[in-house]
Amino acid sequence: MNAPRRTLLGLTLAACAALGSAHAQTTIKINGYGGTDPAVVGDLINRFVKPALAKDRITVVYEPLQGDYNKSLTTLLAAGNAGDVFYLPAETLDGFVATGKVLPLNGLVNTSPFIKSLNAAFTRGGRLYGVAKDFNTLTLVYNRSLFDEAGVKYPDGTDTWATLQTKLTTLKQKLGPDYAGICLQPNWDRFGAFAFATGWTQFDSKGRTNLADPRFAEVFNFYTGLARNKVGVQPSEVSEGWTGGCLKTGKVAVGIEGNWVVNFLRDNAPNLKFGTALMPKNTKTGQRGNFLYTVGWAINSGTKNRAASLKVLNILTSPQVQQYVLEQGLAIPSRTALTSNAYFRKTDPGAQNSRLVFDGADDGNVRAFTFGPQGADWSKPINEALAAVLSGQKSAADALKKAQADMNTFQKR
Amino acid sequence: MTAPAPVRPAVRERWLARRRWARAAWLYAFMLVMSFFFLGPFVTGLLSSLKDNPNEYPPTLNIPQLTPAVIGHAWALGVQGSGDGWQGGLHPGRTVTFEVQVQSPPGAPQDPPAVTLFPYQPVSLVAVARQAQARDYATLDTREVARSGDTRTYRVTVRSPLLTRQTGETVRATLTEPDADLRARLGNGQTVPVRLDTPQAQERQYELNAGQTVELTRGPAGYTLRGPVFERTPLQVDVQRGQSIVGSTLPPSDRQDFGRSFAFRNVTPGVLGYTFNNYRRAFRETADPASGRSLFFSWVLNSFLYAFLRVAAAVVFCSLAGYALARMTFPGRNLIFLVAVLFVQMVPSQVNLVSNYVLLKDLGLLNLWGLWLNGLVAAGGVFLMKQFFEGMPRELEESAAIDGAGPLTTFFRVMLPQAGPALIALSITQFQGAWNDFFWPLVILRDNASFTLTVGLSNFRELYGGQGDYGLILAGAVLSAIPVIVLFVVFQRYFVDTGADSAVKG
Repeated sequence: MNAPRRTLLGLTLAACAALGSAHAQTTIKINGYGGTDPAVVGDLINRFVKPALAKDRITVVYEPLQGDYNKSLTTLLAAGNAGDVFYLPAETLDGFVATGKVLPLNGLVNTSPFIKSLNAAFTRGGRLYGVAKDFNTLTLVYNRSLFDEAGVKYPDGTDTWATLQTKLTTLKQKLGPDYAGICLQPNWDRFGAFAFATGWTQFDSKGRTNLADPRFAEVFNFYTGLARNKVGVQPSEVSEGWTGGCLKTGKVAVGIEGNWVVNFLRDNAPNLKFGTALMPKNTKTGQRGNFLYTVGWAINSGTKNRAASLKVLNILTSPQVQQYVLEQGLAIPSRTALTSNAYFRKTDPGAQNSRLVFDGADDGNVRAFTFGPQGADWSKPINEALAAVLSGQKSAADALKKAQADMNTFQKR
Repeated sequence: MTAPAPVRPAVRERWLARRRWARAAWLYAFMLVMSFFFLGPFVTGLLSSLKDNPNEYPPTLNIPQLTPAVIGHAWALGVQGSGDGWQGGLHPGRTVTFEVQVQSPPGAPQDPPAVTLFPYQPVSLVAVARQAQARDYATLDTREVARSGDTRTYRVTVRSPLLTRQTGETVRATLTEPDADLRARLGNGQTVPVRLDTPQAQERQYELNAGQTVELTRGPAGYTLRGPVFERTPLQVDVQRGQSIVGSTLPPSDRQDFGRSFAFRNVTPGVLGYTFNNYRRAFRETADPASGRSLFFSWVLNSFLYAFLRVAAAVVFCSLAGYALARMTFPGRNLIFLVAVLFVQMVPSQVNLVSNYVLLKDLGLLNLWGLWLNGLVAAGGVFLMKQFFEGMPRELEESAAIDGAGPLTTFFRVMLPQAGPALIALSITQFQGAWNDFFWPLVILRDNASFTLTVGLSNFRELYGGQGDYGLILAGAVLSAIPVIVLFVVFQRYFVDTGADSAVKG
């Protein structure tokens, strides 16, 4: 074929392609997190979404929102140019539902294959607003070397609060002042899991939070009591910002973390030997407590391409995609069927952690991580009380009294 | 009143000299303290960005990455692994030796240490495809080579295998998306099929991802795979209880298990991979999966382009507008000055957020050009230029008018050439403003590759729920501070003398 003819053919093809695309090309825009997510979701789009939807003339673009995702998404929803499909974090669900910009998915998506507590996390008033993309729960991640050195048995699934405390105290006594038993964040996002184990609930039927409940006092005293004799330390005491950092130093035996800590440790403490156990059971109730951290796929109620958006959502939550995500070690899938996946039977510490995170989702009192309709400031009174007691500025009783007063003021706002 | 006691001139001279020295000492002490406060954060950031653990506390100044002997070893190991003392890495067919000293007191186990390679590919901003890991290819051999007292020296030999039998010229290439055959893109952009001529190579066909750097051999049989190029050779050394590791060719990057487990994230680092590891990572690990180009590099270019555009626009528009407002009489002049210059400066830019965003979106300008349009005319710049022109003697323009010059000629030939200092002050502040601009780029720019440096850097923070990779963040921050520091050092004279003075005159 000579050059001019080839050019002509090329032009004709290009023209056809242009005509075709002008004909009925639908573009579905997805909004999600920045960071590593653009690459991960981009990979999923290329591998799974594009091939499946090419014949429907649907293209998909991922637009990450950098910085504070919730703020950016609020701005975009208000301006009317948020994506057709977007990430919906369960902890800020209430605020977004109130705007009416999230499409209820009842009758549009089959939710039966997904873990029940995850569906519950996205349901408000009987309406489902999102399908869990993936999730995380909390586990006890421990440094095996420290337990070996101290001659203390590793934490395991049978531990109660009392036996765990004994193990940690013994370990601290054996290892001395340079080491600590557990890393305690003065924060609702770790403390709350213990609170749920007692049967305490975040909001009563009137939406009020009762911190005067004896069960709350019990968990508060347990959590802050772990800090006695420096068995438990705050991350700042080992010059770190969070529990993962505590573990990295190799000086703290246990951290309460989710599956995200596996990648962190692999990158930042590659030779740390760690293991994972389920959260300890409350000594009285015999129940574990846990948080569900989850982000869902949701659909913009103002989208012009509802059918196409639903197709995209269904592919992104399909078994193939979830299996791929799991096997790449990227996230824990939200489908119950994947519990028997071969990945969970692997013996490396990362896969073991994944399995226990997965198991944690329906073991004991598991609640979605949320701050309720008033947003993240809800947790401030609790965090302040924890910080005050953990750093020895207040007694537990005083701190609880002040927290209840602050909470009442906050909830009356 | 008694007269002062007569002082002998020599004593007085000495006293004066002492005073002079004291004054100089005070002055220098003061300057040192001030520079400590101003430069301290930058220097700390710079030093921490070189460390393996940038959060190290208490921070020490004994940084192996800056120790000549260790840098020498890093260079030598880089040469052993790849023939390149700067970049390092482990290339096919190379052998690297690394030494570890283990102390085994009597009564303790006398076994050699357990040495293993481990996979290491830190997650960064862009999750690049999994790269081949030295652990899956290279072989290890540990043997005792020396003994003094209870300390034994072990030599660890890392051998990277050759996957081809063919001999010929070695070329570097990058694997492309695989189809039925393995294909690679050469340095000149040409894509060639890659043959696997040994069983060892054939085993690897489905393990190598697109984007993997490989070495090929060009010979009579075409291009055959010599093997993947490993960017790092991560090595882990574990000893038993009672033993201790007392020395190694490079200091360990991580110590665990009461000092009995050392991890070396890279034993073939080369100088860039050792001392400037985080800087290299900032460029390498932000490769755009679509184009393969370094995102960090794109961000730097974008920042420069944006700063240049802003400066150019400010110089043109602010001087014209400032001159018009200062010297021309036309109806509504004061109103324009009040509303378009003063009032606009009083309104915080956040107020215009939604309106400007929607406007730019409708114009299809959610990119660098929209960003430029959004900050095209700086009201502050107009104000500065107006004040400057008002301070110039009117006689200049009057003599130009007598010579027959019109307003444009007067402006371009007479007034503008006089405005050098003000223009330099304007340029510097605009450059700095554009370079450090975060709010608008964050709002407007959406695509990874079109970010400016400030927005790009904020991405490094988002790993692990806000717990960023501080080494990368610090390296990026130091790099982004350099242009502004250079600007200040070179142009500080204008800042202090002319620019500020003439700008506020009037």
